[in-house]
Amino acid sequence: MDAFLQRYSLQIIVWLGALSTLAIFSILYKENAFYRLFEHIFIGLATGQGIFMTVSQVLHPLWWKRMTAEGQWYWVFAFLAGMMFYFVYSRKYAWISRIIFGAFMGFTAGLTFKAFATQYVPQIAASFKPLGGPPSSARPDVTAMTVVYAVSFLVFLLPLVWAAVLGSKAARLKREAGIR
Amino acid sequence: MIILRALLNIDRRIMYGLLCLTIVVMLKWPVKQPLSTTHAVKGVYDAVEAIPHDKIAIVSIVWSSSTMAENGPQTEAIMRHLFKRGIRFAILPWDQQGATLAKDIAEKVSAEMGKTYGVDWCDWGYRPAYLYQILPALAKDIPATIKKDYRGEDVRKLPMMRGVKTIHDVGLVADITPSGTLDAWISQIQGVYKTPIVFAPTLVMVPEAYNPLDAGQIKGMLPGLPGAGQYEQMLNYVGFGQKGSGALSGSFILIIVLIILGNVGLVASRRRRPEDGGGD
Repeated sequence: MDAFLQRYSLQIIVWLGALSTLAIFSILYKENAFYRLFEHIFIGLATGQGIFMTVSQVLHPLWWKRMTAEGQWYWVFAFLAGMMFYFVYSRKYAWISRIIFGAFMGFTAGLTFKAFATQYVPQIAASFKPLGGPPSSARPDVTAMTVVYAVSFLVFLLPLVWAAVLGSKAARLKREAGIR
Repeated sequence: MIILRALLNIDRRIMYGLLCLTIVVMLKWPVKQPLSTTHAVKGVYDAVEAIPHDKIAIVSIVWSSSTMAENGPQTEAIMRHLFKRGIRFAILPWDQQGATLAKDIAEKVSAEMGKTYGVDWCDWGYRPAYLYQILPALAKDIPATIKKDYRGEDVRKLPMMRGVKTIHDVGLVADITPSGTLDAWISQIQGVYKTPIVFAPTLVMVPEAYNPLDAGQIKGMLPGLPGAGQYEQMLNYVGFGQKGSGALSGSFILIIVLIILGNVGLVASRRRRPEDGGGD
């Protein structure tokens, strides 16, 4: 059996892959049992692999082993913190879940603040381009696009400004004429 | 009139069949397509060329089997270039399926190019995709954050990890992804430590990457399958990037032809006289 698998495993995998792909694409023709069967197989495989990878490469070596074999008992707090989320299902003890949700919201807020400073500020700074054209080493398409953007923006903005000016003038005239 | 009516009512199954046939034929008998190298792809090549030999590269894998057709060739091309230059790299998978698929690609390419696990490359093993939480710790202490590779071995004991302590020992991060993970790499790594990043997204994600590219936050980009094809061309080998780009072009041409046919049928049917049963 081992010799057979060793010799034909690649062929078996390729044929199974081809069969599965055809089964999934058969939905394009119409809904059918063949598609349904392989849809469930795919979902089961993905879920199974996800659980296996999470347990074998994260939970076991980085949490369970450290807690039980390497003496880092304090990792038990990660479990307790995780369990706190589930109190959201209890009306009486929902306040416990709010503690952990609040903590995570705080972490995320901090990271988002940092992300704005490090990610968007350089992009905003880079968007200020000279209309007269960059040095010859710069990319010509960037300058051309910048000019197009600037002109488009002005074309969009001017009617709005004009409408706002006209609107305020009309309002002033109405006020002066005593019209409500 | 019959032809016009037929053009307006082509069965979707016929269109799917034609699309399938086009892709199969063009993958089986690839048409050599001239691919011009874009500024973004050249940026990736230059960034890999600029990695100092005393630093490692991180190949961040966020993709799974659903986008393998695009992200797989990108991963292979980047790995080939790193091996070719003798730059050590570590795979950092954030997806359970991608962890296995990227490792398979690395094993295949390393066997072809005579490279050794642990010496020329390693796999840090799957990590849940909490990039915002993991990356700040990774930047400060790589071995303490990663701890073990996918085989459960201490990463400190791998020969390629000797001297690798912080993000300052990393010369390049290649983010290969169909998801919005680039923001995390830029905000937590590039923006803080100035570590060069290259980006290999799927084709639909390309427009949103032009802002960081123009701002210099990423050194280059491989736009989907054509990006991988262009990179393969620069590395002088023919992989799925080039073969697949031909099939992709063929399918786009077919879609354009179908759209034209549909519109011709619609316009012509409106021009028919009312007594012929035309018009709206």
